[in-house]
Amino acid sequence: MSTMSPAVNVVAAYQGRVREELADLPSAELEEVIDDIASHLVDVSDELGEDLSQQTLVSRLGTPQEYAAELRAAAGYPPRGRLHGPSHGLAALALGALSVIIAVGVTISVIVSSRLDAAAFVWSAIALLPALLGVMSLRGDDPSIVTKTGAWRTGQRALARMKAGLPAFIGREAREVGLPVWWAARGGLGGIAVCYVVGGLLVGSEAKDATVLSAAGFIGAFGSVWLARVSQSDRRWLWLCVPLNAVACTALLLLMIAGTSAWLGPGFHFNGVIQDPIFGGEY
Amino acid sequence: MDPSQLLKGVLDLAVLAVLQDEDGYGYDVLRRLRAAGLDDVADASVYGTLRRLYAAGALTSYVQPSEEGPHRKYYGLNQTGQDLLAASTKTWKNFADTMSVLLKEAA
Repeated sequence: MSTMSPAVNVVAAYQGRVREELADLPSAELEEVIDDIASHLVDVSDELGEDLSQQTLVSRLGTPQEYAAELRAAAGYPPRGRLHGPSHGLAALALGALSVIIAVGVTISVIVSSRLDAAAFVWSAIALLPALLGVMSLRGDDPSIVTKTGAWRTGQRALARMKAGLPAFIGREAREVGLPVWWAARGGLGGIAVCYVVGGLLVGSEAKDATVLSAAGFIGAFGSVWLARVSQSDRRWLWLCVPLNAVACTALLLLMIAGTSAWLGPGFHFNGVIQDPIFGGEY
Repeated sequence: MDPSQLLKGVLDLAVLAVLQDEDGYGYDVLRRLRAAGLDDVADASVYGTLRRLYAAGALTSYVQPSEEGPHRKYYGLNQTGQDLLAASTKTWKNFADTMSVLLKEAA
C-alpha cells in the first residue's frame, strides 16, 4: 500500500506520464526538464489546494500528453519519434571532435618537424574519416540535433558563463563585428582553397593565378555571408555551413603550415613539385 | 483573431521582459505574465520557452534549495539575454507601429 498522500500520488502520476511522453529526449535534458516540472507541479497543486484531483490537474494543465507536446514545441525539441536515441547527436559530435583533434595534431606535427611529406597528407585524409562517419551517423536528421546533446549544452553554458564575465562591449563587438568577419574569412579561405585544389586539378595552373584566386576568395566571402544569414532562419542550410567551416579551418591550418620551413623542406610542395627525399629527384 | 496564436509569436519577448525586472522560477514567471494580462499563456509554453532561451545562452540559471518540497530553479537574464531583449523590443515596436498605420488606413 502506498504511503504517499493522494495529492502526491496525483502529482507523481501526472509527472510520470509527462516523462513517458518526453522519454525520447537525451537523458541529461530529460532529467532537467522533469526537475523543472516537478517543482511546478508542486506549486500548481498548492494553488488547487483541496480541489486537487486528477481531473482538476488535467483541467488546469491539460492532459500529460498535451502538456508534453506543448512543452516540446515551445522548447524547440524535435517531434516525438524524430530523435533516433540519446546518443544520436552525441556520436556525431564526438566524431567531429575527433576529426578536429587529428587535424590539429597533424598541423602541429608538421610545424614541429618542419617536414611536409606524404605521411602528413595520409594523416590529413584519415582526419576527415571521423567527420564523414559523424555526418553519416546523423542519418538525414537536422545537424542541429548535435546541439541538443548534454555535452553540447554543457559547453554552451560554460561559454555563456565566460561571456558573462567579459566586458559588455566585447560581446557586442564579437557578435556585430567578429561574426561577419569570420563569415567573410571562412568563405574567402574556402573559395581560394577550392579554386586552388579543385580548379588546379581540372583546369591546371590557370586556376592558381593570383587574380583567379582573388576572385574566388571574393565570391566565397559573399556566398558565405549570404549562407550565414539564410541559415539563421532556415536550419536546412546548416548542411552547407558545417562543411564550409571545415574547409575554411583546413585552409587555415594549411596557411599556418605554409608559414613554416616545412613549406621549403623535401616532400610535397604546393607548386605541384614533389621532391623525393630519398633519391633527391623531382617530379 | 486568436490571441493564443499571437501570444506564441511574442512569448519569448514577454518572458525576457518579465525576467529583466527580477529573476524568477517557472511558476513565478507564469504568474507574472498572467498578472500582466496574458491570461492565455500556458504553463508548458512558459517552461519550454525558458528551456529554449537558456539553451540559446540568453539566461542564467541557479537553484535555490527548499526545505519543503522540490528545490526551485531560478532563471535570470545575462548580457546575451539583455541584448536579445533590446533587439526584440525594437522589432516589436517597429511591427506595432506598422500595424497601427495599416489599421488606421483600413478604418
